[in-house]
Amino acid sequence: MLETLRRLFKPADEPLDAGRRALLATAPAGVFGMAAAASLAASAPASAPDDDGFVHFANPQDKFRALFRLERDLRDEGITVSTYQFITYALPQGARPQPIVRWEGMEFSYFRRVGALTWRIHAHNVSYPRDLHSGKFVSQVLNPFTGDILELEPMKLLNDPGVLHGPQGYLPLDAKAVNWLNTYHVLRTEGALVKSEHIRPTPDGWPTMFIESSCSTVTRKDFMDDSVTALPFQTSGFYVFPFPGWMRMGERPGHMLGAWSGRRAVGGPRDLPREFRERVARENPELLEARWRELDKPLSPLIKEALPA
Amino acid sequence: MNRRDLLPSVLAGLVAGSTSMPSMARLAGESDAERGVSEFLALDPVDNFRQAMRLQRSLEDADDILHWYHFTMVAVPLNATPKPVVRWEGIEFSRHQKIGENRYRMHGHNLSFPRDLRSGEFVAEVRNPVTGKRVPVPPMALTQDPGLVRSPAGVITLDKPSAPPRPDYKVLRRERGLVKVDGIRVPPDSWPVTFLEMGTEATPAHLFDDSSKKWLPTEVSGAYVFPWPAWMQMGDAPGHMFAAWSGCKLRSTEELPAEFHARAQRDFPELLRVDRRAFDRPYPDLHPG
Repeated sequence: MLETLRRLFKPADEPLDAGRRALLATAPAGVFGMAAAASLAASAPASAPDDDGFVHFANPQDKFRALFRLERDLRDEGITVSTYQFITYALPQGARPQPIVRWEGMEFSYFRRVGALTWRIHAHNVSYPRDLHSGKFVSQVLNPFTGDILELEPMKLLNDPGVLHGPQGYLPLDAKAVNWLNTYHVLRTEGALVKSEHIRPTPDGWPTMFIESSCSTVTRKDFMDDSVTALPFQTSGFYVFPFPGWMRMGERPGHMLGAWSGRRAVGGPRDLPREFRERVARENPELLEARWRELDKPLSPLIKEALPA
Repeated sequence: MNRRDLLPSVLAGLVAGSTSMPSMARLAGESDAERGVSEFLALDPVDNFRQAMRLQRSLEDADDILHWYHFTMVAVPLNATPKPVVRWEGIEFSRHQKIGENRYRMHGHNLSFPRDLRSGEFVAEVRNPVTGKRVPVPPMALTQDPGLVRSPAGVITLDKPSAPPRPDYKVLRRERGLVKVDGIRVPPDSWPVTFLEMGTEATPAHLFDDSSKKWLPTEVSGAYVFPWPAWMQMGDAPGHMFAAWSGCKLRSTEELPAEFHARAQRDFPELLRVDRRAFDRPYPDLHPG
């Protein structure tokens, strides 16, 4: 996944559809699996304070279960569909940041458990640009820094190489070395709510500017119910990324920022916003289905070796 | 009406489904048709302003508005990997007064205490992940806000009262059981160039649809971009900070978490009280817009 990120966000030759997907794919939202509940029980926190406070876990495995249950599903096999709107901003160095365009999108992921507490995940994303003010679908926006009219295409991110996710972190399936990427994850309670804060930075040494952070909110009632293997959530977050090619910012220093607000589409694609769902159904109906064949592709020897028993 | 009283409503709007989805959906009163609802509210500028006020503050002629939140600061050096620095827990406590038809004057202050990124404990210093130095982090008590006037025409900050209002961005949309307002704060020219603030505030749709409710409970999230604070000791290094928050609107300081309330009461008791004296200062040259 990290290789994908780097490829996708190279500022110089950014493909049009390289915007949001890769970052989202490192930590997409949750799902409701259709299979029967797996033998893996949802993990209860070691402490669940009655008052507002931080939730502490007995071990990394329990903490991972809580994260995976929030963002995906603890069943052996499942799907996740999330829907969101996000606004992208340009932040050239030394200039006043400006909003550029609103997007509405979905992430559709599908995953299978491939080892003890480790899942193989593939995903695709579709997002359509919308006017900042009217909210109507658009295909052009103004770059307020250059005066250029920018041509926008739907963002379809279909080349996810896949990732392993377990208590050690994330391991992209096209990795050339086994370096699990760990992340920052904190759970805390706010009255009847539980909030999950997850920051996914990129490793040291990366030449460009990436970070993604989200805060997902679930009910304490669901959180404390072991029978809920995939927690319904509302989510918000942001990500920082280099200027994409379509912004035509040339060599100008600076970066982009995206801020989103969304939710798990608990019922799957039928639970997506109607106008969005109808457009996907019209233009790319195949993207309203899980692409399970992605999980049939063989793993590299390196990744096989990295799989936990 | 306070947040805890309203929590079942908030949750009904919040929860998009679950294993207990059927029951929660019934609780939210959703039909299948409503499940796909996502629409922008086409409102005239005055109604847009008033509905945003209900969500973000209240439509009472005079009111005190309390927001409580956690936020995490991230350092964004130019051409390097952004890195999280410190968590904060804080409040924004503001008050407004109606000064004309759909025109409100507002004053407020903020108070935040730093917390360790991982343990969540209160801290007084952190490691700057860019320079590697340990740096002291003082509590943030922001009490110098000059105040502002807000109307459908935009915002006038009272450090430049005669300047025309700056239009701001507020888009309302209905999303299943919630109504959300997406806002982008437009800073005055006198502010640092590297500044941006955006947020989303959400309230249960059935409360929004009850026009008798002038104050609405909200869950809030957002982010802002700002220059290096002095305590980061970044010198002239290019780059900036970024912070993202998640919180809610409360009805009174009694609803604040006990630990935060106790520390604020001990260290900054005056910031838990409403002080309306700022409204006593006249602005004869206030722009009429």
